[in-house]
Order: sequence, then C-alpha cells, then structure tokens
Amino acid sequence: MSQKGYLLVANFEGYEAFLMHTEPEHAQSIVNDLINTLLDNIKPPLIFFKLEGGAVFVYTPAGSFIDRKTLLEVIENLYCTFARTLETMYRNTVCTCQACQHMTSLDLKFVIHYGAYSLTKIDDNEDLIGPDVLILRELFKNPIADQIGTTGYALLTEACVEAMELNSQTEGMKAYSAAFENLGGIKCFAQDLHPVWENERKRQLITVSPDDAWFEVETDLPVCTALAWEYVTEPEFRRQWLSANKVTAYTNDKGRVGFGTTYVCAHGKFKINQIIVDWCPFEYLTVDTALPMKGTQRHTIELTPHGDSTSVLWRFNRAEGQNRLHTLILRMLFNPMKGKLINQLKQGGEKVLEKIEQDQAAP
Amino acid sequence: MAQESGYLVITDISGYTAYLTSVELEHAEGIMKSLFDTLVKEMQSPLTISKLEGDAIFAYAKEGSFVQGQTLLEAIEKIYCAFAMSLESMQRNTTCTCKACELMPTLDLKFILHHGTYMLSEIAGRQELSGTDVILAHRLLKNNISETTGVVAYAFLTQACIDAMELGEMKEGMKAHTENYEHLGEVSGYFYDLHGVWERARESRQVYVDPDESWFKVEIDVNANPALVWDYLADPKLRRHWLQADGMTVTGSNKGRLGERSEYHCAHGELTVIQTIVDWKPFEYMTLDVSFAKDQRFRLTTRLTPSNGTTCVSWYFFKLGGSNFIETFLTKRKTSKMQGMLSDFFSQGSNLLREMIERDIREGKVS
Repeated sequence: MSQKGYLLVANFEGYEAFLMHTEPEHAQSIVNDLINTLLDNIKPPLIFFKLEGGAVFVYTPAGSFIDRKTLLEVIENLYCTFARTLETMYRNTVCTCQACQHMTSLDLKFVIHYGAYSLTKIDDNEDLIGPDVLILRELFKNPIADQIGTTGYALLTEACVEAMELNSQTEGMKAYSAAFENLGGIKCFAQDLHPVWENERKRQLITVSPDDAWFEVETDLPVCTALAWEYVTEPEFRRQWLSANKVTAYTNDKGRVGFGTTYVCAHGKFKINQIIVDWCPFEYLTVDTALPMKGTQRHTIELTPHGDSTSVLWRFNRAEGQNRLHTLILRMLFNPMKGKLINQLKQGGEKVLEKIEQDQAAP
Repeated sequence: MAQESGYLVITDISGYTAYLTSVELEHAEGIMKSLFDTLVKEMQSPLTISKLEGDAIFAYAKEGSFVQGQTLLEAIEKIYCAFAMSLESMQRNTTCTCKACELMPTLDLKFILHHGTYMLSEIAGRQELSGTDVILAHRLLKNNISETTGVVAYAFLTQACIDAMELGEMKEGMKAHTENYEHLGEVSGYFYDLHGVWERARESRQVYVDPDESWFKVEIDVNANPALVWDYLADPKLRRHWLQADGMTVTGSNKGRLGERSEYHCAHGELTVIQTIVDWKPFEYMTLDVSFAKDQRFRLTTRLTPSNGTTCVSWYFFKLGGSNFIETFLTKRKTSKMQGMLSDFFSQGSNLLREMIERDIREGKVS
C-alpha cells in the first residue's frame, strides 16, 4: 500500500573524491564516524531505512509533525551535528595522512521530497519504491554544488515546499530546476546550510541553570522530542501552558518561530511580551518575559527524552530589574505569585496532555 | 573494519524508471515485488546480497567462493533466466489490461561485474561494503552500452574482473567496451548480450535421469554450497582428481566454456572414457552420456540438492540402449555387468570429492 510522506536523503558532498584520493582505511573510518553520528541523531518521527554508500535514507509519514516547518529544524540540527563532529575530529587529529588532513573537504547535503512511496520487504531487505523515490534518487545523485554555490545545503523540491507550507520562506533560497528522463522537470529550492552552522557556532548559550532556579515544573509528554518541541513552542499550545487567552508569535524570519521571535501573551486586558533569547531545537529554549520598567524574568524549557516520552522542564529565574532597588521591588511584587504560576503551568501541562491523548486517539 | 577482495556484482532492472512513472503504482508494486523476490531467491552462493538499492541489487562474492570463472557467469545467467521466466510467466498469466501489466515487457536486466577490494564495516547493524571499487561498480551503472549498441540486457565485466576470473578465450564471445568517469578515468571491459542466453535456455530440452527410473544411485553429503560443489564436478582438473583419472581433456567447449555438447575425455590407463554433456543446469544438475565402449553406455545425472548449508550430491545411473531392439538388448546386458564396478568407483570418487572440498575449505583455498 502506498502512503504519502517526506522522503529525505542526507549525502556527503565530496564523498567519492575523498575516498578515491586519500588513504582508504582512514578515509572510510572518518566517513563511518560521520555516518554513525548522523544515525545517532536520526530520531522519531524520522525513520531511517537504509544506507547506500555515503547516503543515509530516511522517511517520515505525512502528519508526523504538527508544524511541518519543524522538519527544517531537524535538518539544520543534523547539519550542525555533522559540522560540529567534523570540526572536532579535525581539531583532535594528530595524523598527517591525506585522509585526516583533508576530511574538511567533506560536506553534507540533504535532498527532501514529498510524495507517495510504498514500503517493500524482501527477506531482510527493506526498501521504498515509487516514482517519488526515483525523483529523490535522481536528485541526490545530481551534482549541483557548483550551480548553487555551496556544498552544504538542503534541497527541497517544490512538492516538499508546498507540503511544508514554506512558500513564504523560499525567498532566501536559491531556485534550481532539474530535468530527468522519464521524470520530467523538477523545481527545487536550495537553502545554504553554512550560515546556519556559522550562527550556531557564534551562538551564546543562554539558559536558567538549576542553581539559579526560582522554581521548576516538570511534565512528561508521551511523544518524541521533536513533537514535544512543537507542543511547547507552537503559540496555541503555549497559550494552554500559560493559561493565556491568546498567544501570538511575531517572527522576524518569514514566519518561522525561532531566535528573536516575540510571543505576545494576552491575559485579559494585559499583554505580556516574551522574547526568545536562545533556541536550540529539541533540547531547550530560553525566553525573557518583559516586566514593568524594563525588568525581565527569564525561563528555560528543557526537553529530555525518556524512551518514547519526553520530559518537559520549565525552569524559572527570579525577576531582574535595572538596578538593585528595581530588582528588589520586582521580586517583592512577584514572590506571592510563585504558587499561582506553578499551578498554572501544572494545569497547562495537563491540558496539553489531554490534547496529545486526543490527537493520538484520532485516526 | 576488514579489507577484503572479491567480486562486486550489481543487478539492475533497466526500464524501471520509465515503467514506474508511466503505470499505476498500486499495480506496479505487486509486479516489482514479484520480480525482486525472484532475483533475491536466485541470488545465492557464490553471491551474497549486500542490499537493495532502488532498482538494483548490490551483491558480492568473496575471493575463493568459486574456483572457475565460468561459475560466476553461470550464476548471473541463472539469475537472468529466472527473471526472464518470471516476467514471461506473469505476462502469460495475466488478462489484465492495465498499463502496469501491459508495459511489463519493457523491463529488463543488466549486470555490472567488477573485481577489486572493499572494506566491510558494520553500521546500523548491517555489513556495509565501501571503497573505491564499490564506487566504480556503481558508477558503471550509468554507461553507454545500450545507447551505442542497442543491447538492453547484458552483463558488463570490467577488465579487472575478466583477469581475476581468468576467462581467457571465453571473452572472445564478448564485445569490448570502454567508459570514462570523473575521478576514475577510463574503465574498460567486455559485455555480452543476455537475450541469447535466455533464448537458448528456453529452447533447450531437459535431459535427466529420473530417480524412480534410475538403474542405481550413489549419494553423498558435502559441507559446501551447491555452486562450490558444482565447480569441483565441472572443472576438468578437479574432476580428474576425484575420478582418479590419469588425464582429463575437454573438447567441444564454446570458447573455453563448458556446456551442452562439450566432452570430457577421461583417460584411465589405456582406456578413454568419453563423457558427453547432454544437459547442463548449473548448480542444479548435469547429465552426461558416458561411453566406455561402443556397447557399454550409460546416462549419468549428477544432481545437487542444498540442505541446511550442506549439499547432497546424487549420481543417478541409467543404461542406454542401441539403435534397434537387439543392439539395445545386448548393450544393456553388457552394461549391467558394470554395476558393481561403477558403484564402487563412484563411491570412492564421491568420498574423494568430499575430502577435496572440505580440505580446501579448511585450508582457506575456497569458502
């Protein structure tokens, strides 16, 4: 039976040249380490189904993500993990062989397509078949790095862009068209992943540490971390956690929630601005709530996977003012609200849990 | 990570993309599954499947998994014939007029065979093959053979493969071909058309001694796969050894390749026994008409039956007659007298065969 979903292949750019022109033992060992790093980080709802040389094949059925843009976060995360591993390996090697000295010639590209596929199993061998799988295969074998000007990229087909509702975000991407025999023309958009890694590298970690915590509230959600991430970052779910009347996200990245996004939480007549100051998908996000007279209160939401479920930990910092007196006044004002805030978050967590149960019970 | 050398074999369904993109996926699914089932089932020793790769199956044969180069050709031809037969029987048995069924004949098969080194490493619980030669074999899937020659179903063997298989004059029946690839440079080799192989297989009649009608039989179990046992039965040098002949020559081979109408000339002292191959179904059975003298003739089918990692080798004997009733009567009577001698001789020979194979496996000469 065929079904619809996202088909993804992560493939090393420069793989063949690297293996052919360097010492095979070391070169293969480097490639294997990088593949293992990717495999360790391919988590639900992504389903790994096979390796082919330097290409990792993954798919996820349609509807696995609430916000389909989350798939883009997954890809960027995988890219950063790859880049970090490669950089660490390169920094730590003392070997002077060609393979170890030229490992940074490797890069990672992703091809993502949306379409129909059919899972087939013959003996122990599993594979996906269908015309859309062929499109994916042709695209990943097609060398386009020169045309799009980067070796680390995510190439999304038009079908994928539409399914992910990314149309507004293609402005920053490079349009690319490919034509294959029997498959016709395929329009794609390529996103350069180098700036993503550069930003990640420069990013300062901003979190509320356990030592600085004013209070913590923990809830277990029976979903994978990628989905749990959506249940804490999507404005509608955030509204439920915070018992607000309405939460609106104002983004500065073509509709994509992330670093710099402001959530405006309406509680009756009051509107509270909360700005995302650190965004590390599927691990944590840190948000600063604006308080009167330019005071702030920071909280971090940490996600920790436990088997099939994810622990969501809200860790709140005490209010901070512009000076000592301001801080003292703010804390005196907010201290009595601690119990109420904890209850709100606990009740909010229960509402989200109910929603998840409803979603899971739905066909 | 272990480095090994051996044969890399890619079996690729040609016409797959055009087929899948022009037919109903739901219908095509069953057809493709059935074809892949056939291919996977046929892809046995000396080949080991590494993985399915979309429209292709990547397999390999370790060094020493066969003795004579011809065996690898037999293996891929057997796969091709099974594929062609499966496709033909699906076509014959369908009355469906959908595009998926109608366009089945547009599918065909090609093989890429290369010899080289590869690294075996375990990733995600599976044995992965990698290395320059693995890349080369895959690159060869995109070639100009069909465009320049019009041959759709073929086996392309790289020069490295031809050399390792020691094909010698067997390659004379093949056509030379060269490809050029970035990072790899020029890759030359030989290819041959597989349609002819299937046509011959379809036309060939089956000749074998039915176990129920056999004169007598000799049987032995050998701890090896059928393809390897086949090599020891077929290769003249090895055959000479377990048949304890003083000499063994072959006539009637097709450019060095044994098959129907080839003859083993087995010298035992002054006596030359002529064994004419009348049916040749690699890894399953071979039937030979054996002639000691004009009036001492019998038919011998050697059948291989795999069972749990071992192969049962059975020799079925059948007395041959003459051109008329009297000649038949006399020949069969004279041949009957040989039963004790033949039975002893083949019992000894079968033990020798088993010892040879199991010793060679123990010593790592073959696997």
